[in-house]
Amino acid sequence: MANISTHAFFWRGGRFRQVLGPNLFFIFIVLVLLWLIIFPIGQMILNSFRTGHPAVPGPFTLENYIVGFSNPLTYEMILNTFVFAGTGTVITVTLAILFAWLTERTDMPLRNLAWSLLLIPMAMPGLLFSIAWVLLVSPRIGVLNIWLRNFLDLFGVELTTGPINIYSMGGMIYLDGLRGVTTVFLIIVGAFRMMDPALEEAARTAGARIHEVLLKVTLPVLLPAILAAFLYSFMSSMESFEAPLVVGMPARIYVYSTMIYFSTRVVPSYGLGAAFGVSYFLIALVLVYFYQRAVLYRSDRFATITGKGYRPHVIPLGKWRYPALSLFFVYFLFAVIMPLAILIWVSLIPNYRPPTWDQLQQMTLTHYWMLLEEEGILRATWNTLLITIATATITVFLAFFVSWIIVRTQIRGRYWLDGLTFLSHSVPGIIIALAFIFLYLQPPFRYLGIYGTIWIVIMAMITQYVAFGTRTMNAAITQVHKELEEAGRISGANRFLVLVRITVPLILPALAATWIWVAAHAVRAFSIPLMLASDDNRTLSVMLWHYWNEDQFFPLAAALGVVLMVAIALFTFAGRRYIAKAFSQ
Amino acid sequence: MLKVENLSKTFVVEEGKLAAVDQIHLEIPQGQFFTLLGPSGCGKTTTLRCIAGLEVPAEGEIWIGDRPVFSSTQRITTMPEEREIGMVFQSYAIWPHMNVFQNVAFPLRVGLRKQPRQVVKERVDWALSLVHMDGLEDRPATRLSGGQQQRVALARALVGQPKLLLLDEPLSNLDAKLREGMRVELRRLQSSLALTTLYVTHDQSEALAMSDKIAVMQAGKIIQLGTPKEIYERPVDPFTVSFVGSTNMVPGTVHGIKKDDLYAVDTQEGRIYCLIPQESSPQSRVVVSIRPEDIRIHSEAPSSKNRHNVWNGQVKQLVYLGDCTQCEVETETGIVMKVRINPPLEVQLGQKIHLSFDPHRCIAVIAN
Repeated sequence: MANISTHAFFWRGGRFRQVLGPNLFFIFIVLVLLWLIIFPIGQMILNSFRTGHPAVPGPFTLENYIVGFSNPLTYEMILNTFVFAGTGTVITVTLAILFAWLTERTDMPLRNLAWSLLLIPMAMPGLLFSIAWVLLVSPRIGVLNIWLRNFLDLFGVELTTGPINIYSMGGMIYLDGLRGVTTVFLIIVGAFRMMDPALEEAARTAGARIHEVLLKVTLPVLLPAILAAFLYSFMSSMESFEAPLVVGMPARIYVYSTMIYFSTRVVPSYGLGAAFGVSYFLIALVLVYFYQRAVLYRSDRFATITGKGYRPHVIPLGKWRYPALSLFFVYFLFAVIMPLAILIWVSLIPNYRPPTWDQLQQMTLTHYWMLLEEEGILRATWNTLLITIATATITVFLAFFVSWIIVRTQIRGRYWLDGLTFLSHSVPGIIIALAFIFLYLQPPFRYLGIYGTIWIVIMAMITQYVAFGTRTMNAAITQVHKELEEAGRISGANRFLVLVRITVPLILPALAATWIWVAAHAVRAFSIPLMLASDDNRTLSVMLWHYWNEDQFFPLAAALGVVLMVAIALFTFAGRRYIAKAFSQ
Repeated sequence: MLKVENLSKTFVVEEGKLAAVDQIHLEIPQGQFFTLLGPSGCGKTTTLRCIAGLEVPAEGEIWIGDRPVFSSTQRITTMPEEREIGMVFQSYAIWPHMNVFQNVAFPLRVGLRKQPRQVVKERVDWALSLVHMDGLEDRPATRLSGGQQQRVALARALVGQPKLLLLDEPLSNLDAKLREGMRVELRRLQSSLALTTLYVTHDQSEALAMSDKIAVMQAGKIIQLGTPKEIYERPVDPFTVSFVGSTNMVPGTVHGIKKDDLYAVDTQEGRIYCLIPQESSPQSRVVVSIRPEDIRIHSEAPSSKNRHNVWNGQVKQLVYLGDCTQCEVETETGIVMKVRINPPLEVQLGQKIHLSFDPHRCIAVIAN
């Protein structure tokens, strides 16, 4: 006999409303996800086969692909992208493994301090980081270069520029490699903690020495996790936008993300941008596929059995203890102290000059006051706040409902929801923004008038973060024992009351953690707001770029950057426990 | 008070459809303590959940009181929150974000059984005193021991004064001593309230100790339904025999009926005499159940007066259990019999002894 549970809601007493409710709701959520994910992507694919402005759609043609892929510069761009991402990833993962090993498996002192030194850099937005380093090592006017030239002068070596040129592939790799360390560090620490320490102990009791244990046991066992971290870092680097924009474009070095930005917002040649977008999307899908396989493979083969916070035997470093700690300080110096110092310096002087004692007399707070008076700033602050709060709130709601349907209902097709959100996870931010441009510049959605408002930015960011939100919500809802909800039903509460009085109170910490994580990312977002920027919806990071790139008013840009960083740092510090919790899932 | 007819539920698994519950019929009159007993996967919990409304059966009729809460023929179904029953879950399902009072008061604050505040207070106090948890109203749920959680779960199930109480293996998470105590208390509470109760367990001693009626289930079907005494002493199926209590199962063929309702059954060890409750004819294949506590050990051959059911054997293994010793005795043809020896009787390993068992205590069931 057919399963009658889906038909039962039509019967007497089946509470038509009640059982129909979840099904209608499911359809609604599916439509929302379609609108946020499938429609834009689909539109982008369509537009790759059209030329001209999206508002006036032309006939279908292969011209974009032909123009794009017959140009040797395109292949140079693709090569650059892989070289950039690959090398940056190697640097990032190596540093992350080293740092993780030092904090998790050795007796290096002041572990908590080391952790802070690695987590604080997250407070600095990528754009700011790149800008700061340009101020430091720009070939002619970079502060460090000026000092180095003076220094080399003493030895009779005369240079007019450099010696370090940040506007290079090397500069891009350096910036991106350094930035990614924190995230990969957290992933690898997670892997270390899941690894059964008895494996290493068996090696040591068998006679292996420290480096042999590391090379013959630890690393091979962690290889799947390292591979997953490598792929994750590679995908992030490929997607990376700030460093290639600030440092690569002036040197005419393009990668996928900047090429798409350039084609779509600068030239603009929309169709070409779409063609690049589609090819990038396909590459991203392939990478995500491999990432998923690597993640699935890694998990539990060597997992800890006890799982009760059992600390493995730490490896003594002896005389290397403090030198090891100093590595963290060196990282912190390059990742935070130097960029922050130069930003503060530049924000306090009237014209951009390297620091000297006389200059110190000329320090002024003018630029900070200017910020308060700039009309664009006020508007941008309001936009940023609104976008951050709306994105975080709507994402959490959406993720919660998607997860609830997947975990708690028996609706057939609910795994499509999971697939849809996963798809949005695999699409790089630039592509999301690109796809949204096409969807809302073209009829019929053009008539909604969303393009150029903050709402297009909000929607694009929701699409980007909903996958992360769903993952956390899935874990949180799964942890609420089904019987807790069933007991509520038996006690007389209908599905809605059970949700409100039992489920939501129990997952409130996860809801809060997700909100904070999304907000922390939304406030720093740059690639999506820039791609979708108009006069009305600029965020603070877009304003920063505007001052830096268009106005070339470095001190003002620096002042804004410092203020932004302080605000983010305070916010992140306040919510740090929640962020750590969200990440460990 | 509870009537179930034709209840079926299937689950779709990899190999196809699995009949978790297969045409179950049962009826529980008002005030009776009824137990579904069986191993994991027999369908007892699924049956309970269908009655609770947490699963939707494929077909069947369920009446609680005189109200059909589910009927596939009349196309009627009722949501769990409208069935006005009480249920204690295996995990207790005490809500960690509420305290004891809020947990127990919940059924009186939502849905159909909503009551005014004064009534809620009175009833919660009453329910908590029933389970000896008065005074602990403000304790947060996270600070309760397992046993306390279980009592709160029970109080919550009773506070709405339901017509039917469902219990899903509520004692399985408690330690042995606590379990025994709760058994008695639960039964006492149930009879003082005269509450119709459906109890699900895999623990046969629990079932025997607490129930008015037991239904032994296997593979979705009820194998035997009867009082604890009937189930234990008059099994009708090899499964019931082996599941309830431990026993020795000796295969044989029926020879014929003797006097006193005793049948002669030929086994590999010779002819023995026993009772056969079911219809049987000569040459029927049967399995004779001889419980370890019904076998007597003799160092000398027993007297030839009424010399039925006597086997010779050798002690092969001894397991000291404190209140008795469990023996394994191998007979002349190699059958291994489990025998219970109570102090002060003692035997040695390897000792040659004689076993005898009263024919009226041996039950044969038709082999399948």
